[in-house]
Amino acid sequence: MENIVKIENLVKRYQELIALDHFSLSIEKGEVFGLLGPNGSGKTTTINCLLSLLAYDKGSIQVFGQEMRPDSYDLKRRIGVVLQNVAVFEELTVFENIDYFCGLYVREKQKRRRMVEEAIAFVGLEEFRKMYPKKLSGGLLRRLNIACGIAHKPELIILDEPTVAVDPQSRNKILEGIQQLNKEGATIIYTSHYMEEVEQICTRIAIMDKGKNIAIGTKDELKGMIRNSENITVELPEFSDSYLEEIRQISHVYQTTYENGILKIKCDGGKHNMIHILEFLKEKEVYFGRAYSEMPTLNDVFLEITGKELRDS
Amino acid sequence: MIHNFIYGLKGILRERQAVFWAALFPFILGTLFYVSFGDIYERAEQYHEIPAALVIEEENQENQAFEKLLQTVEDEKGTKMFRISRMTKKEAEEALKNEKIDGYYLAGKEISLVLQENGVNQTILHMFLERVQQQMSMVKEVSARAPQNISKLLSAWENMPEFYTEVNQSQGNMDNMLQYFYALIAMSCLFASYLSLDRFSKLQANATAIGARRGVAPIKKSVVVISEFLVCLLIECVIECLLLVYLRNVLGIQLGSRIVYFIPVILLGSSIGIAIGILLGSAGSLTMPIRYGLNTSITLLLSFLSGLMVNIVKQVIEDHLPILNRINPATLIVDSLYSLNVYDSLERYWRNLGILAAMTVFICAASILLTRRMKYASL
Repeated sequence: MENIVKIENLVKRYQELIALDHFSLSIEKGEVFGLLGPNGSGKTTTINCLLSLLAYDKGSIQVFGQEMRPDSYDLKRRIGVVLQNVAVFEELTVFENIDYFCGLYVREKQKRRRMVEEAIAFVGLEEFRKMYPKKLSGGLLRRLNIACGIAHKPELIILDEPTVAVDPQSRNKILEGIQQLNKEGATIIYTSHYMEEVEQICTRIAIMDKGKNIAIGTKDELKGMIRNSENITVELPEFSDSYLEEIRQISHVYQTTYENGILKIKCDGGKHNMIHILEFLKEKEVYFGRAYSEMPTLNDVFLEITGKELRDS
Repeated sequence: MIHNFIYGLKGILRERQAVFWAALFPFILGTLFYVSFGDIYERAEQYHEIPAALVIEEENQENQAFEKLLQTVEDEKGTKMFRISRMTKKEAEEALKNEKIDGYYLAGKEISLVLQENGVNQTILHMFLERVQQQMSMVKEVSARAPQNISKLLSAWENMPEFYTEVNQSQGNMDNMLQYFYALIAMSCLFASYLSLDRFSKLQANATAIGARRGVAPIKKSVVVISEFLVCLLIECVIECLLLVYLRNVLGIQLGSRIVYFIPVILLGSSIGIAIGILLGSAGSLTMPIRYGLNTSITLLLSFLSGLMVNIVKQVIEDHLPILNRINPATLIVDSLYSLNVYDSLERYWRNLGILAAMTVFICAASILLTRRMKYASL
């Protein structure tokens, strides 16, 4: 497969702070690649270095097989960027904004007009084309931000936290749109600290923490890297802590906690863990409410590798 | 280039804050100047008559005729030349001492003039008396030698040009108050920096998100810089032309007869204003409020030093630190306009414009060199 992006040993320092610590990455054509990590983990710094906006101290970055520099106009022409902060002109309408940014990539007027119309339709802003950005809601503004970045139909699309502060309806629309762009042939780099989004759309994921790439792979590969294979949760109004040690003795159970009437059990394999737990509770005549089993999430991956919750970091 | 220019134009015309500072503020200030100085102009008109006194020590026909002449004589505009009060000698001396009058005529057997200081008004009083005495002696001589020619003599005097006329050495208006309006035009030109600061901050990835988005686009920075510069220049020149029309045709300020020469001043004045905005828009990783604050401080300081608030400041600097006047763009603009009105030669005018052009090129080049192909240390 063709390498679209190749980052090797990237180091970026802000005085004493190391924002990127020998960070390496390789993204292939057609991927929806997720950069997942808590705020401040170095995702946006990576993107800014990749785009030659930010100077870095060490390492190399190649895009489409060529070194990326501020004057790599031929490379830039093939890239679409949706930055974390909404970047549109307040004094231009929705249509004008998309047309302006598209015009920086596409000179031919007729072709550009068609592309702008398609971008407007793609993000569902047909009714708002003559409106100014300040009249748009947060979700619509984010959609406009995306349209400005993708109207010229780039081969590589970089989306940096495009769904921050977006309502669920707009979020779904955005995520569906990204998958659609991928189906149409674009390679996507998607950064987020929302693990559900990354799980939903990304074909491969790199988990970042403190400027380092701590794990990389498909979501199944990432989940396979950790001991946890099943999370069982049982609502228990009354429960004696002395049972915790007994539950831990059940086959495949390796961690138990009981807080605020909720018993949480982590298992490392096995097929009928839930049945074994419920049988134990029945045997001990412990009354329980809802009980459910979940597969591990990327948060569990992050938790197991770093010792902290992705959400709370 | 055209794409950037068109959208830049749309953007500026819809950017209310920048347009307010660049356009409306100078109009408002110009109106305030006009209202404030209007009173001074009126008072200046009132004091155009020369205050003088007449002390008649001997009542005779000649002295009575002289008093009548003093009360009726007018200049070429039909304005009375003298504000004459009849006084006793003691009163006249007291009034002269207290500077209520510029001099007094003492009319006895002969008419004489008593003055305390030298000045334009005193000279006029003196020359008027000389001329009257000369004519009276001619009348006496003609009536003694050839009384039949008296009517011819009087007719000849009527057709003679005024015996003195104020002659301006230049073609322009030397009114001192004009300096304030020149300083206003200079400030207005420098306020182009608000337009360019706004536009150029949107080119810097470390200043605005739009700057970052443009930074990743496949377009040379110089192309965007030139198109944005031209947009700002076009808008600013239109604003300055409207300001000139407003000052000249609405407020009636006499800006001088060489109005065509104002155009190069406006072009270069606006350019230096835009250049200042470019420099501030490109400077380091300052936040936008700091950039705007710096811009306001710099433009107002330069305008103050050019005499916008206190006319004499420019002269004080010229006396003590003339180099500052040579590099202050506001002063260069004021001085260019001033020199048009005061000197027939355009040497000083072109010298000032040359300095303005050099400064503009230097600042723009420095800004472009600072930002082209730039990677930022932090965003």
